[in-house]
Amino acid sequence: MFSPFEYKRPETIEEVFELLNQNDNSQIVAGGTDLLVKLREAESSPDFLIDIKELDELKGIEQENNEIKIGALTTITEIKENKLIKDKLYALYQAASEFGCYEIRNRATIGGNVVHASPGAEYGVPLFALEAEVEVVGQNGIKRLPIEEFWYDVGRVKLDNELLKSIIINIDKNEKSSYHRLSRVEGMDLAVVNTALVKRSDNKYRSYFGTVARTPYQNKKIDAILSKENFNKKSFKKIQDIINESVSPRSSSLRASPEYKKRMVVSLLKKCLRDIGELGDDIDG
Amino acid sequence: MAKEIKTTINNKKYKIEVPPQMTLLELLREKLIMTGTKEGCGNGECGACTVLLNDKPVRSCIVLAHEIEGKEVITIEGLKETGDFKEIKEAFIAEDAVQCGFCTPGFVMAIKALLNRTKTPTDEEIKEALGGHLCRCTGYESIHKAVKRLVK
Amino acid sequence: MQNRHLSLKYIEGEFKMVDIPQAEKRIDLDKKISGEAQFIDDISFQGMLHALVLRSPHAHAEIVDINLDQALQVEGIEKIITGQDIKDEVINVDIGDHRPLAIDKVRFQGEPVAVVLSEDKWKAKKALNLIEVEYNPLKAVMNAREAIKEDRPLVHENQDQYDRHLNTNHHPGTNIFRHYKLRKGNVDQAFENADKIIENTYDYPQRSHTQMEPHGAIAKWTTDQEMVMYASTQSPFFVRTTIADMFNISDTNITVKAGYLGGGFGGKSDVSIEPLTAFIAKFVPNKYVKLKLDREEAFNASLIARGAEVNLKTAVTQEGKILGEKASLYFSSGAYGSTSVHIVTAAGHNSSGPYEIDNMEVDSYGVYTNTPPVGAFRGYGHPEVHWAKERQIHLIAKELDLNEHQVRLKNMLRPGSINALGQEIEEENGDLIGCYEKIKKKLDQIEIDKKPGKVYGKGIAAIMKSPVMPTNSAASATLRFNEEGTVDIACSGSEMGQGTKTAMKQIAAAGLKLPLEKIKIKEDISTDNSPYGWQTIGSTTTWKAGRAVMDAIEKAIDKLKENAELLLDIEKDKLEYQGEKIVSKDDENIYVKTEDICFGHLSENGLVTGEPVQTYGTYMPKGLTYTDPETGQGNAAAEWTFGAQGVVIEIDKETGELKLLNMMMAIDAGKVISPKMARGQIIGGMVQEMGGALTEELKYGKNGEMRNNSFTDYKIPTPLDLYDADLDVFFFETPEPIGPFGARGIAEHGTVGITPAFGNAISDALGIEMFELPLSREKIYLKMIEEGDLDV
Ligand SMILES: Cc1cc2nc3c(=O)[nH]c(=O)nc-3n(C[C@H](O)[C@H](O)[C@H](O)COP(=O)(O)OP(=O)(O)OC[C@H]3O[C@@H](n4cnc5c(N)ncnc54)[C@H](O)[C@@H]3O)c2cc1C
Ligand code: FES
Ligand code: FES
Repeated sequence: MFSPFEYKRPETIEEVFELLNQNDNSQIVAGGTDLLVKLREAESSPDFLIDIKELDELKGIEQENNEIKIGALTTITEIKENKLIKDKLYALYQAASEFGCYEIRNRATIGGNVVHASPGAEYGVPLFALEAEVEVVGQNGIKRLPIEEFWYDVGRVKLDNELLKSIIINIDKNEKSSYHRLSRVEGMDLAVVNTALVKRSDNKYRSYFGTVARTPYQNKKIDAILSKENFNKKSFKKIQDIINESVSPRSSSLRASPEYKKRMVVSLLKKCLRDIGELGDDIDG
Repeated sequence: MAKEIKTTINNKKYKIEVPPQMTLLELLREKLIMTGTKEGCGNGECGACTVLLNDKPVRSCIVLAHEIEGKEVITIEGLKETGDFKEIKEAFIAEDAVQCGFCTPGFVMAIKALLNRTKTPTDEEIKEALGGHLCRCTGYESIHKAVKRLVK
Repeated sequence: MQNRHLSLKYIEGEFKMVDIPQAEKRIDLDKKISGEAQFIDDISFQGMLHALVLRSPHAHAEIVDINLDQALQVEGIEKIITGQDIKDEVINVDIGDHRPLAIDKVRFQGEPVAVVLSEDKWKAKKALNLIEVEYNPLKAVMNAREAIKEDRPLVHENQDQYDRHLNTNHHPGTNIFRHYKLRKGNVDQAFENADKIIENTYDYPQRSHTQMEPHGAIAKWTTDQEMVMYASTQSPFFVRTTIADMFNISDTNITVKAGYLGGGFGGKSDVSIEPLTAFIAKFVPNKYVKLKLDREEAFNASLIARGAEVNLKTAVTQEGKILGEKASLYFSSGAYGSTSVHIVTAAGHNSSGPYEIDNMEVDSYGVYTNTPPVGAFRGYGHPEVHWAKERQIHLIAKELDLNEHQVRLKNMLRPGSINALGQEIEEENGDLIGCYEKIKKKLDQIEIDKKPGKVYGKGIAAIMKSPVMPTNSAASATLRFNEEGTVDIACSGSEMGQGTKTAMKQIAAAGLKLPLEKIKIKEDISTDNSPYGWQTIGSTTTWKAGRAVMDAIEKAIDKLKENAELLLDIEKDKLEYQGEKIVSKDDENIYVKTEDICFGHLSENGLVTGEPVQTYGTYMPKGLTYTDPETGQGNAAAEWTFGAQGVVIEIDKETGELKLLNMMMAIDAGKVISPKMARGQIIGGMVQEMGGALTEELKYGKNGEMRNNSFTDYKIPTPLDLYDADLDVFFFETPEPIGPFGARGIAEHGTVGITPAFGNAISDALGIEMFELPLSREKIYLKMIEEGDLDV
């Protein structure tokens, strides 16, 4: 049960800003799959919900030159069923396939996922690995910034009475990508840990690991090892050592211990490498 | 403040006063007394509250009632008139896919939505349709068999 | 040796083993598929008040002050009730340790502290948020291991002063509220004679039932002595008595009605939220009050399940013969003891597993902890002890370098064996060895299609189960022939998905030799006029209510024959009841139609011969006694059911992810009333317990707060965990003399041996031994890299 609030569904971005200015204690809602769940148990709630689902400017998946632009309101189902995404940004397709369940995917938006900025969010590690940029729209126009600047802490993004408009990915730079997550059951679950790997056109690798730090975690040393050819058992030993030394996941997590998380990001990295075709089924690499 | 919304539920047009904080599930169960849609968690986690919103299955416990303004909702009560319902029911009966029955309307809605998408779903599509639905009684075997019987 | 069948009379003669007619479908199926079946929350009344409960945020704390001033200012609030409003109302199921609301101290996070009543739930919520409670937090004890230590806090300071319905052997001045002792033979001698003593401790954490329907109840007091309640309960009569006791009024003044339950599994047996609902409704006479739990409350404010630490010390010979065993069982039973007293006992009775052990010493303790109270859960103490026992057997075999099957078969109970309670096992108790051999063979036959990066394992467990219930836990039934020759039957037993009412219809059709269409079973229960039934628990309904139905049938047939005798002028003994007609044994051409005499026979001139046929049937388990308080020996269990279970699993070496490939059970069901429903019960039980094996565990934070009270972090099996698995159920049918047509209880049994089957399969796959449930992916992986055969 929610505590009472007012509700508006504006049709233009301008209206959204008007409403935001008029009401101090207001909240944007997109698919509501994070926000409504949060409001349910909260003792108090915003006075005002601004539902942005009608804003067409925030919808759709398009390619413009070498960039794919995904509107913030694009649902996870739309991402999963989009051919362009599957062909060019496979990791985003994989993330959509793992995400929640069918009914949730029909409502949840990629923008909500990014703004919610939870450590294991499906669209954390793959967007970071793909060097995504975000478009933010405010009263003074649109600005564009790298995702790692936008999403700077657990549940924190750089928005100040602004909306996330879209997510932009350069497809020339990113040749292949893969995403894997580990969960506790096969059906609907959240990611216990997740990993994304991108092989860039310059043959360099970028890898990101989720839930081991406050935001998706990258370690340049690991990417350097991956970018050297011929990894073998020793490379993974080294990668594991780097992970062990450099991250200290929260020990109070209900979903996994720090030790397991640290191991698993490396296991998932192997799965990603296999997807990209750089590793056989031989477990040792 | 309650406001009036216009909507279509089970092919019938409604004009109803709805407070903004009311969920679609509350609207159905508490205001319209359509109690076939169940609340198992209120959190989007179990699937018991599944209804079709503009033909897509959603979890009505995390949809605001105001969001259905101008849209079409189909609930289990409205399914009876549709063709697939008879077949779904027969398949559930044949496989004894119901025990306590609390999860059943949610599963039936999910299966109906699946059949709306395709009459010949693959295993992957069946898994996608059912993956987020919980049943604590049947162990799922009978439900899976019922779906497979439907697509045979 | 006591003979459990001493005074049992099986219905002979008319009711030999017969084919049971199969229903095309369950009687409740159409309604449930179309969403028309009504569950508790689907019921509401004009002007009904919603009850919202303010719950303790602390696991253990003194209540210093409750301030309602602001909350009472909210318009539309009918009433706010706190522990201060309690006079002498006590919820006393077995131990009078529980009040409907906390008075001066809270004992678990989630315990009710105040209740707001309002017609508008949003207003109630507003008021609830304005109630101010000052607490003085106390140190909490979260499990039995801590709770039995010297310097532990006491959950109940004065448990001596509580009223008890039975001798629970509690330890005054400690947290132990129940101590069941079993002593058999000479254990010390056995340990001296042993070649080896193997000791291990096994942990089974607390779980949640997670019925998909959360608990709910609606109550209205019509006078200050009379109340009517609708509840999602497995035990309407038990709820009635408990509430009547609480208010010190007569049972007959209370009406409890129960319809469909959205799952029970034990978590809606005894009482949970019903006494609180009755208590708060009393403050607003003549108004309906609905209390329904949300999912979070269903987790932390109703009954929870399991929670046991089992230590086994087993004395064995080199050949694997078990000479003796010492078992210590510690149950983390939560803040109130009544609902787990008998679990502690049942576990004690069954800790031997299905083995004959001549020398035993079992101490089973129920221990207060600062968690929600533990109640019955499918399996009732048996899964806890089988987790230990069937892992122990596996480890004994490993330690002695023997084949585990040989060790099991060497020690298994068989006709002539004396079980732990001193009862003699007979042929008719079922074919344990047959079941076990069946599973072993099936497992051997399965050829695994192996994939790179994965390892595979097979695990097996044998099981035994007996119900524990009061010695006078009766069941009953009414039967009424209607004028047209159809039959209305009502009987005890709540319908919660197990198909009870459909099974009763089949039993009735078989007993009455009438087509199924002629029989109607009443589904809803009202304590005002439904036949009495103690509780719908312990997998006992099919045989107990079934026997009551058979009793009613026997009486009805007698009555029909009396009517026929009057009409045909042939002595009753010379008549044979054939269902649609009653025939002279001497001349089959002389008969009357049942439908012509079932309401008495009306002749053309209006004269009536005979009487309407309406009967009442009862069943009371016979010959049960309390066990001896010092030795635990006695005729405590009315039936035993045996079986075996197996699983085949795949484990990903990189992640520890475990995938189920096969799961199976062989069970001696006595007589399968409905193969489809019986299979559904076994499979449902196995999958439920698979959750306990792999993922389910209630987790508490530093201050004793439940941290995973939602499906987000309490993971139960999902469709995808089962989609690719092959499941098998094999039924054996050794008739049980006391069951209808030889049937035994089977509803819980699917749970009993699943956790050890998984544990043993993991051992088979990886050579690692697990002692703590759940066997999560994480635990498997970490143990595998720590000590597995693998080079990872
Ligand atoms: C049952 C269930 C399962 C789930 N499973 C997963 C899972 O597997 N993986 C996963 O990552 N997540 C999961 N989630 C979480 C959630 O669905 C996702 O984070 C989702 O992407 C959120 O999108 P939304 O549109 O629903 O966000 P909302 O709830 O509408 O919004 C989330 C936050 O973002 C803000 N916001 C949304 N859009 C914008 C915008 N365009 N501009 C500015 N602010 C905005 C809102 O104000 C709010 O604070 C699950 C949730 C549920 C209930
Ligand atoms: S009630 Fe909506 S998903 Fe559970
Ligand atoms: S049939 Fe009971 S939850 Fe599915």
